[in-house]
Amino acid sequence: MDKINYITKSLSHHAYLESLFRGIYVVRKNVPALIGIGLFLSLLLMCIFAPWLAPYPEDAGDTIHLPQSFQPPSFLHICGTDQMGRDIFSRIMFGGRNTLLAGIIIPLVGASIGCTLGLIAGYIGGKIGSIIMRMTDIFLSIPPLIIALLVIGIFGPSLKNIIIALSIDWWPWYTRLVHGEVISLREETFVEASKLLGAKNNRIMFSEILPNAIPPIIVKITLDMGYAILTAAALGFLGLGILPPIPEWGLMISEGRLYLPRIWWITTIPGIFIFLAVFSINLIGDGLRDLFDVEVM
Amino acid sequence: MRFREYVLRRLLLFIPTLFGVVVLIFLLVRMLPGDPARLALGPDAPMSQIIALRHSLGLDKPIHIQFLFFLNNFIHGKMGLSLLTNRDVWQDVAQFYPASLELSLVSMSIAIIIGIPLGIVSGIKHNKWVDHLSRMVSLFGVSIPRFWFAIMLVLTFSFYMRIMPISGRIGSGVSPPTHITGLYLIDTFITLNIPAFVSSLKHIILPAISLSVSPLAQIVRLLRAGIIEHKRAPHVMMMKANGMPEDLINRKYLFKLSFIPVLSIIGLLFASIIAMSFVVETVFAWPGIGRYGTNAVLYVDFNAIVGVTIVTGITFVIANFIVDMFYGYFDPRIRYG
Repeated sequence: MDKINYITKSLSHHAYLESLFRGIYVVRKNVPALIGIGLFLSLLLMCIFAPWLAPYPEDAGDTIHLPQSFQPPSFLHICGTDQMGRDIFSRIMFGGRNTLLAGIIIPLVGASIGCTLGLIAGYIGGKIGSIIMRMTDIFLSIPPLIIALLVIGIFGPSLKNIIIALSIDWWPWYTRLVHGEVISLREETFVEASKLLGAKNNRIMFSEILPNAIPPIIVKITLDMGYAILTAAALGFLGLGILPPIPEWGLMISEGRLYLPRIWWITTIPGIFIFLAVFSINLIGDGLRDLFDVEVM
Repeated sequence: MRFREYVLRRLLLFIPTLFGVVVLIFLLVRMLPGDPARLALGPDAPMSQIIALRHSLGLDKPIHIQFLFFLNNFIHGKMGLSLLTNRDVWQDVAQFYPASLELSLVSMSIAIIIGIPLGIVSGIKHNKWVDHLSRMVSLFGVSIPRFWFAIMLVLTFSFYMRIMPISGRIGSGVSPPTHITGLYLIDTFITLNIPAFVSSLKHIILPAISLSVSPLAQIVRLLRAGIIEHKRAPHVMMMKANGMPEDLINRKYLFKLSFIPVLSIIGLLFASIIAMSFVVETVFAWPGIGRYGTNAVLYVDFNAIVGVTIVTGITFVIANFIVDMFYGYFDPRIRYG
């Protein structure tokens, strides 16, 4: 028994390394994905280290320097200043922490709920399985932002509530994806084998089936990060997200709208950053999709 | 299975889904912590008033009785007063809904009319410059924040170039058309009210374009992938080897096959248009249900939130049903699945 374990372990370890190396090789050839990784990492680092990198870190809050308000982009303020005279570039660096955080956490929370339910529905099946899948269908038959609006309307706007609300939106997709994968994996020989060896349901679900369903999940999580950033920013724009004076990219766009068309930079620049973040994520997601050769919705 | 049977079976599935959506929204609203009576009266209201309102709203009854009340009122066209407009929510919805429906139909049409040829060209001229260009366009389309894109369109075409109206549904000097369908483009067209037609067309273009970028990009992407995949399929190779003209293969076999997955996501794209119309309607002050819903959430207008949620939910279910019909019609395999 130990020997079998040892052999399978070293074999799977070897296969894992080999696929990792092949992955690195393929990604190295994929220039757009590399650009995406570089762009996303630099945005992420810029936001993480905002307190040390920002030219005017004190502008992240509700500081007011009225004499410096509405200054167009210059060497002193590379993205200009807003209605309170705060440096927009510094606020973008701090605001990105909220926007990107929401974008990263939402798909992860949605995926962990959705994948667990999908595994249970697909592997255990039966009554529980069909109840889960009916629930999923009903959740999927409501347009995405609507449940989020309902939740935020009742709980009130904040970063935490956005994350909760959008995670509720997102889990059914993962349930459906994993359910489909599990149904086809359930009949595979390696699952039969581990059943014969006396493995418990939990072990089969999480250590045998789940790892084999990982590629489409990873691709979907990556692509969803882009959607989540767009949605979180849209909620911020509507005033249903983070409340001022805390900076957030969507909120900054809506604050700047009042001063259009002359003061264009307050609105335009945060939008460019949202675009860059989502664009880089989509490049990475496309790269991963090619790498794993999967198609996800 | 015949097509008629398929329609019947779908119809039987459609009704429970509709019911499920209504139940789900009702349960979400009732189960989330937050007392509608307290929300309506404000935080300073005395307890006796809250209890009285709870009683008159029937909130002190068990949940299944409450649901029956709710369903009864809903069917009889009563959804409670809106705090913002002081009318029954049904009336508000009836007023704002056509504007949103018109906007989403126009954006979906733009996405389909531009997206399909672009996807086909991109798939056939795989790896040529047209393909690279359309891939870039679709990558931009899925990455761009739509509300920001909407603002940029207004900035460019309305403020700087001054060729498009800034906001609203029809020019202030033009009287709105007589109410037939509620869709201005159709109403003005039927009554041959040319100035009003032009004005409403001009007003709808920018919001519709900003809503359509992402669905358009996804249609291009999917169609392109489908054509590239099917180009290498054995039956297409066979036809080519037999000397069938490429044009004929494309027209008769390739497009039809590749179009099926596109059809299947059109329901989803419609959902994304509905969701994003909340933001785009706010940018363009479009008097639709999205803007009404956003205000309802901002001012915690409870009945209005429920009304908007239910109406959009039902719209989405109906849209999916229609898409399913097309899907079953074009792809016989679905009918047997």
